[in-house]
Amino acid sequence: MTLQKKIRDKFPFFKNNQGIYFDNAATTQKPNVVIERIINFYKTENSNVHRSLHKTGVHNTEEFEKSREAIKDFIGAESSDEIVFTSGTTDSINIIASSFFKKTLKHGDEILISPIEHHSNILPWQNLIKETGAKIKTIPIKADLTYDYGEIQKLLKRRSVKLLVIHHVSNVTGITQNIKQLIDEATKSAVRVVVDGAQAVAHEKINVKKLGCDFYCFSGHKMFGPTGTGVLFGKKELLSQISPYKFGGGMVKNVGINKSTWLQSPYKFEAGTQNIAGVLGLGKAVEFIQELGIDLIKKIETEIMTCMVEELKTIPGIQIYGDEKRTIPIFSFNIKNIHHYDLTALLAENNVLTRSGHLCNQPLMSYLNIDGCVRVSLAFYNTPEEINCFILTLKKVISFLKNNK
Amino acid sequence: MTSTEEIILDFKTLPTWEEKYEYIIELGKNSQFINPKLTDEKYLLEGCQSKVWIKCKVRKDEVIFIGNSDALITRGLVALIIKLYSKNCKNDWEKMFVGREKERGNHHVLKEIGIIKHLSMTRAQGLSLMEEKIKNYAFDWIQNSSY
Repeated sequence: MTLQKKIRDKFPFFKNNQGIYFDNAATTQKPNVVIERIINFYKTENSNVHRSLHKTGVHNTEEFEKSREAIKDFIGAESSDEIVFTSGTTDSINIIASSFFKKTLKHGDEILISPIEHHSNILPWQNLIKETGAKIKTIPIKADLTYDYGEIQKLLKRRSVKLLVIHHVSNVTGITQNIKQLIDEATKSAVRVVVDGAQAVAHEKINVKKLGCDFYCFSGHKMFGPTGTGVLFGKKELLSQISPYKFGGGMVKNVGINKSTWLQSPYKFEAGTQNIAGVLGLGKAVEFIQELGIDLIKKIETEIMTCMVEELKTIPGIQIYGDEKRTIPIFSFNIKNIHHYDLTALLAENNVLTRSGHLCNQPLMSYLNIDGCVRVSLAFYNTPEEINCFILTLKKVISFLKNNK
Repeated sequence: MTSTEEIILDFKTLPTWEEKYEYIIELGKNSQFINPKLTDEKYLLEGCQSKVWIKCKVRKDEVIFIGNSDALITRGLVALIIKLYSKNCKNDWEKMFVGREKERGNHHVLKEIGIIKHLSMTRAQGLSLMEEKIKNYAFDWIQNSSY
């Protein structure tokens, strides 16, 4: 049995489904260890955390905090106080937009955002400018769909620029942006940086300390963990300045009827009972990735990426977006004279699971002058056999649609 | 036989996906309810994965719908949905709305003919939007005597 087959066997989805799952940028499959962790929690350990002093309560609090510790190590944060559990990337970005930046941005301040961000990294900021009077300044991108570093460097020198909002890996092109360079430039100009890391965490080595970003947001479900889990990393000194954005049990030092005081980060941001099972599952997902090692993941993914690139080249009339700089196996494309919706619907009919449409990136679609495209996104458990089968199906579907035009 | 029964019967005789989708695509090509030139922004339904245009008008005691889409399969689905609703005269519409207000389509027919099972909610949402527009128009028409 090959190593890849062994790894794939750890994911029960593939035993229960015959289809080809090429929709990993939307969400990844979950390994047995994650699923079992969640089941075991509910079967034998279920109780609340950070409250009860009974044995199970204390045990769960320890396990919950172990997950936080594991995530801290996984992304190279300095302290587990910098790790706030959220429901996902969207939640994380919304929290900092509506708390820290709502308080610090003023009328006339500028937020730099590119047209290649996911909607989740545009809409919270759009809402924020309505509330603060700050403005969005669009940052230029290059023809290869990477950030235009030279131009951004110039913009960062404007005194009105206070925040740079970027992504680490694109959910459309699979390109890893050189965010270190941008963060360094932004830091020199005292501009805060928020990174959407949703597509990076399952594929790239993350070290927030080395990167130097102020905030880094990601989701558990895109890294083989449970849905409804996510992380907001924030530098300790910044999180300590943020007032809680929601209020309830588990976050207080002292409550009076007129006035209350809060615990320190991260607890002041985690009011109410948390997604305990989810957080424990996420801890296992991190452990799973670390046991495999990002190096091995990268090696396998580079092989399948090369294989897919070669195969896609054989499709007449294909246009792949951001093809030159791809670093992770996400492929977004259109076929000349065929609608992406028709293609995806028929691929689905043939049990090939892909995604089509604007991919939550309408500004990028406008930039590319298209309504949408087909996205095929792979992970390390996808095999060359699946790629071959996908290509055959794609050719069959294209020929069907051409014959029925 | 009603249009719905006709379509279900037609579909039941088609065993493969190729034949089912050929049928749907053909509907879009040959339907009297489709006008490929209908691309005016004001008829565009927002929120569908592919572009869908629906134009509604009243002729005598009848409400007429004409549609179009830039995707082959969707164009067929537009033709199908319009076909399902186009034989409704004022009386039929009134009967349809009795006690049900302007409820959204439940895709009963589309489910039965086995198309919708592979369509994601986003796309199903597109179908709902088409039905909603048609029903809203018809509802306003029977409510409002100025039509």
